[in-house]
Order: sequence, then structure tokens, then C-alpha cells
Amino acid sequence: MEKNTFGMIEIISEIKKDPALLETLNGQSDIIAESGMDSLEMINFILRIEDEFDVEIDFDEFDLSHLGTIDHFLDFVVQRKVSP
Amino acid sequence: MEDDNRRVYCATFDAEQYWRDPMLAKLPFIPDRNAQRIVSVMDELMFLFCQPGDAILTRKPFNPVQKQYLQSIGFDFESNVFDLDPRSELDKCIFQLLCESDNKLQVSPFLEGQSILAPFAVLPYAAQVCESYNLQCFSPGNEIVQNVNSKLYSHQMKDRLDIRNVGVIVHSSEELHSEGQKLLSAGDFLIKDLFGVSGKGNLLVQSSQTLDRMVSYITSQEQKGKYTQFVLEPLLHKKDDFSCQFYISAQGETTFIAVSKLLNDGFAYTESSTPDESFMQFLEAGNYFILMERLAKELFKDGYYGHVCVDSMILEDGEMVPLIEINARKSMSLIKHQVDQYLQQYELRGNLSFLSVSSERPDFSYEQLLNTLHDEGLLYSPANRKGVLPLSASTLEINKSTMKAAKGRLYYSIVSPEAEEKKRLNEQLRSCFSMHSYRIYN
Repeated sequence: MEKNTFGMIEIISEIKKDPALLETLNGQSDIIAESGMDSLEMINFILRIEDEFDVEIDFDEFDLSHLGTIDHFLDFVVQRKVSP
Repeated sequence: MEDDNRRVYCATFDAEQYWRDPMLAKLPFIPDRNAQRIVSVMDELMFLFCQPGDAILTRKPFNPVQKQYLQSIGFDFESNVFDLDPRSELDKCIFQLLCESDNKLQVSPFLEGQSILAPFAVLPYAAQVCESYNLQCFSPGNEIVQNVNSKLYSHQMKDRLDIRNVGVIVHSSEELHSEGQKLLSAGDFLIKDLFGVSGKGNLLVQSSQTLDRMVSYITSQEQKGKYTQFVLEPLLHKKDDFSCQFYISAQGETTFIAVSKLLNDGFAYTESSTPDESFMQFLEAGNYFILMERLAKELFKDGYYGHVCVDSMILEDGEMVPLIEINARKSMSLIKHQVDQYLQQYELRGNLSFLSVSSERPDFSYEQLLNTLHDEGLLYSPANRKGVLPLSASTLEINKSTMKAAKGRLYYSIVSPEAEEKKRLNEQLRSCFSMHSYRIYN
């Protein structure tokens, strides 16, 4: 899995079991609004991101505003990797 | 039921969060205020329980367009026009809002002393509400309700009823690690919160990385003084999900109400339908109803009476798992049964379902939606004998003022005697939503 925008889109597509998302999502897509992930899918998404991007996200601090667009969340994840 | 007095129906649908001890360590959860807002106004669905003269008390005033439609197809109920939650205090259940309401001058006459409070679930503050507003409530105490709704109680009940129990209780992060490893060596398993509900509070563990991550998350909570209790269960390969609804009177008599087949997406509910005769015979032959009767007796012995919904399933190899969990409250399946009760007078039946959507067009009102459904011949009426019967308007509208792409949910019943026609009506409904700039998520 690539640790970039497309890698993130692949994970969303797998969690939603919707291959069409590979075509429709891009870096500017709003993760919640355009994927339609529910709260349980969101947790699975975060856990997969942690595994694939080798970071740890603080669930007690995290809220939906950290998600935003795919690229915005990618920046957030990359920052966590640099300064955990 | 115990009395003929006027009933006031009300609800807080995410009841489990109010039964949960805040000192209990939790699984990861990302709060979603938009989803919470939608759940908070699901209380509109309670109109289905009303008989003429009864009332429904909702957090927000009942949508007037929806009420007019419901009245036009034969429903008869009163509803409040005042806002019970003007500050959008989503973390407070309806009983707490009633206790703290600064609008008692409007609330009191609506509730009319001596009415019977008929909630979706018994929650903290219910007793105070009855006392403050001089209402009657035929419910057991909150501690009893809390106890029988715990997954721990369901787990122990399997042993009491001598049915196969594949679950294990863990009381610490160390136990979660050791028992989790054992389960994982045989396959995927679930971590269940004691007060989890479908869609949240269950976590599927498929890898040792996820298990380790959960162990570290729970450990960090234990270090902050929380205590741990989870039920771990191997993931069973199910073929059919179903549930049984029954009612235990205050005298301990059990009345079976219905069985519903459920269509779930992952762990989240998507649709309920009425099972066919052969499925009911299969349950009968497997002594399912005898077991439910025994379960009801045990619940009554432990002080509970009222509505019960038991979740059950059939595995791929045909084995019946009669008890997954006990929901000692009303339920979506009971709501589906209420729709069927209404439709029965016209010799019709429906499936209960919902669309999870977001709208890019805040100007497209609920009234326009109903008009569109009507113009396309999709809107149910007794004269049509088929169609889409929308059951909740506020769940679709509640986020419109707060978001550009406003998330919403429409609960509805698809009414038709033919399975194929139900499918077709569903497709038509979906394309109608798409045509009016709704994105559909389920």
C-alpha cells in the first residue's frame, strides 16, 4: 500500500467495499461527505491508517474535524509520524 | 397493557449510552455530532404506537408536513409544538431535558397529569419526570433495566438457559491480550462493549496488530482509573439475523409479538422484514419459542417487565444461535411490527428500511420531497395499496441548517404484497433521491 493520497483512497474503497470510490475520490474529496463512512467504518479506517502508515492516533483527542479532505488528513498523519 | 389512560410516547434511541458506567473503559469511538443529531430526532417514529387520543412528545416539534401526511393516511395523535431541546443538548436524554426544562408552563398542560408515560426505553430521570409532571409509568427501576441490558447479563443468561456460550468475559487489558490471542489463533473475533449497540461498541479483530492496539488503548484508560469489562466472542459465520419481540406484563405474563428478519450491513441494521411460514416452523421445531418463554421468566425473576427484543441468528451451517443479546426496551423491529399493525387493516405488509443520505440542496424541502414522491406515484396511500411510506422527516432535515452537504436519514416502509415490486419501488425511491441532489450512502 502506497503511503500517499492514493493509498488512503484504496483503504477507504476497501472499507466501503466500493471499488467505484477509486475513480471518484481524490485528494480534495471530503472523507466523510464523499465516502459516507459511518462511525464504525471510521474506526476501522483509522486502525488501517495506523497499520499502513505506521503511526498511532490518539483516539481521545481525535475528532471529525481532523479528517476534512483526504490530503488534509494525510498531512495530519504525516505530522503524527514526524512528531508522535 | 395495564391501563386505558392517555399515553404519552417519547424516546431516546441511543439508550445504551445512558446505562453505561462512565468509569468503564471503552473501545475507540469518534464522536459524530451530525449522526448524533439524526439519532436524537428518531423519536418521531414513536407516533406508530399512538392510538387516537394518545400523544407523542419529541425533542423538536413534530414536522408539520409529515404530520399532515400521516393524518391523511389515517394516523391520529397529538404532538408538541414547543422545542424541548432549544440548546441542542444532545448528550441529555429526553427525561433529563424534561426535568430541567425552563418551559414547564407549556410542557405540563401537554403531558396532562395522570397520563401514562410510555418510553422507548427506561432511562435515568424517568422516575423524576413522572413525579414532577404527575405521570404514571409502569416500568421497573432504572438499575434493573440497566442490569438486564448489559452484554454481561446476556452472556450469563446463556449459561442459565444451558445454551452454547462461546463468549468469554475479560476484566483487564492483560486478559484482553491473553484471551484475544487464544481466540485469534482460531480466527477473527469481536470485542463487545457491555453497552454497545449495532454500528458501535463492537470491534472486529482480524490481526494481532489490531489486538495489540486495543490492548494499549485499554491499558492507557486503566492507568487513568477506568476499569475493564468486555465480552469477547469468535466471529460466527451467520446466514440470517433475526429478532423476537415479546412483552412481559407487570404480573409476569409473556405475550409474543413478532419475529423479524434483519438485513444488516456489517454490524449495522439496514432492513427488517417479516419471515415466511417455513422460517417460523423452523424456529418452532428448534424449540426457539419455548426458550424465549424461559428467558422471559428469568427476566421477570430479575425484576424486569416491559418490552423485550432478543437478537438471534442462524449460522451458515444451519445452527440456530437463539440468544445473541437481550434488548430490554422497544426496538426498531417492534416499530416495524407497528407499521405492519397499521397496514394490516388494509391487508398489506411492508419492509422497514432507511436511506442514509446527504443533500447538496438545502432549498429542497420535505414538502417538495413528498410532492415529488406523490407526483411520481411513489407515495403510499391506502387507495394506492402500495408505495413508499415515509416514517420520519426530522431525521432527514435536522442537519440542513448546519452543513453544506447535510447528512440525513429517511426511515420508510416499502409497501407492496409482491417482493419484486418492493425491489422496484426501492430502486425508484433511490433514483428519485439521486435526481434531487441527494448522495446515497447505503
